[in-house]
Amino acid sequence: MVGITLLAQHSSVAYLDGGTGSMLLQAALAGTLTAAYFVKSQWALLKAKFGRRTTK
Amino acid sequence: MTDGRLGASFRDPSGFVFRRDGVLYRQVNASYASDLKLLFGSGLHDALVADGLLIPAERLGPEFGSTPEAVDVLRPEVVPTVSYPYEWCFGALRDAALLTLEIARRALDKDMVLKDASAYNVQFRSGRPIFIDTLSFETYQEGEPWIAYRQFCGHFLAPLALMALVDVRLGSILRTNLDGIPLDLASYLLPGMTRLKPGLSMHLHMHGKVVNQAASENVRKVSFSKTSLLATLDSLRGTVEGLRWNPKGTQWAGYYDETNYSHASMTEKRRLVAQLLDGIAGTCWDLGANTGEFSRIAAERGLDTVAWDIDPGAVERAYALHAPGVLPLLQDLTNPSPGLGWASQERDSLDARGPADVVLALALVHHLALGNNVPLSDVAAYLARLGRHAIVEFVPKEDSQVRRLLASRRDVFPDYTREGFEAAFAPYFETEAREAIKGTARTLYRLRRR
Repeated sequence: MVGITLLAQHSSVAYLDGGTGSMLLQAALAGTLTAAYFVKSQWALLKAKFGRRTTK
Repeated sequence: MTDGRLGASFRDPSGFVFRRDGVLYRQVNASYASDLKLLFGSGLHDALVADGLLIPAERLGPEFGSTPEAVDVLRPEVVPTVSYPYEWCFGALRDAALLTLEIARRALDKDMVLKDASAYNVQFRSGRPIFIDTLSFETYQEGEPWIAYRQFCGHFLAPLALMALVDVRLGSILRTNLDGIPLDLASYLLPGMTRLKPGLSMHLHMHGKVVNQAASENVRKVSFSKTSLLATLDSLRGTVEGLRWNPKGTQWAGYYDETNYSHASMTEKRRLVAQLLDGIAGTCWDLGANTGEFSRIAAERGLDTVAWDIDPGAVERAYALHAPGVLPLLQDLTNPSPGLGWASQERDSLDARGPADVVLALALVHHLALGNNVPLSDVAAYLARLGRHAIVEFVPKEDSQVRRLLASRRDVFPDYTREGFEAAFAPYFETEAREAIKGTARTLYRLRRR
């Protein structure tokens, strides 16, 4: 799964303060949310295939 | 409306909105040049406009700029009446949230990201939400989490959860928290069982715990894949979609069933209101609109209409109808939206957004005058600030609705008579027409302000 990588990176040019806690929380949730997203996408693909078969 | 930079347009250095000769423009500054190029060059701008998600804007070129930093100037389409999140019903705020997430997702497809997720970037046009901040898109930087995550949760998710799961009236705390509801407060107010719902648990409860964490340089080391960003947007979408609220048993929900109007009188009132609207074009504010019955009559006659009402249930029902040309909004006329934000100029008061070409005040004046003790002359003065024309219904004391209002209190309103009403309105309005509503003791006036 796509996890958290710690890399030095370019700093955002955004004007908004994203908040340290909010940015770290997103990184902490990334694994869980990405796994859920992956499962959901696969399920949608399966359903699409199944749907096509039944409509033939 | 005065010329110059708009009071709310100062946060983002990418540009600002200004008015010149009464026309609204959006200046694009040099610092936004490369993002603007990608926004238009990638086709994202045109695709979002074509799908009705982003406000159309004409590119005029830097010569139209207000300051030397201009690299371009846009002239956006203008919405008929500006509205704010604390005036939206649950369904409207939910639709605005889903619009914001949809735009963020589609931006990522073109390697752009929404750099803010303020609810104030959304307005309503033809009763549907539309994103108005063309400069909210910036080039996606590989590895970055969503900078606007906290803002989205505070502006959308927290109020929606509170409205759906605690009390719909909590939407009004957006009025005192212009940058969204503090997430720790939302977490504290939500029922404990919401910790079992994954989306609310992560985006509000866990978020509420960390939101006040001290700023740290470590945040610059956090990296985040594009798939994770899409997954976060998808999780937020699922969480918002899981929140629902249906009005039941609210104050005015069954109003039309309980009035003493017979079917014939109601039909006659509809006909008279339509007739009195003859020859008036532009915007209509239906004050105390309930579910927008008469707003729809105005909209059918081509007026851009706002159905203002105090009751969240009535506004929700009106919004759910998606009647063309009608925007239902919440408004307590005894305490109307004030000027808010920096210098009280970021968010305009109700009357600063007027005047409308016509206000409808149908079965309203008795609630203000007898329910809230506002002198009739003060009601007239305020209506004259809100509208160039007014169609006002006077409901006398012999009407059962007024009798009900006075049933549990002393009648301290000796001037509340038809003659008193006409005398109070005369200094502010000229009467253009007066019609008795057959089968009732009520009178309709078409007034033009002096």
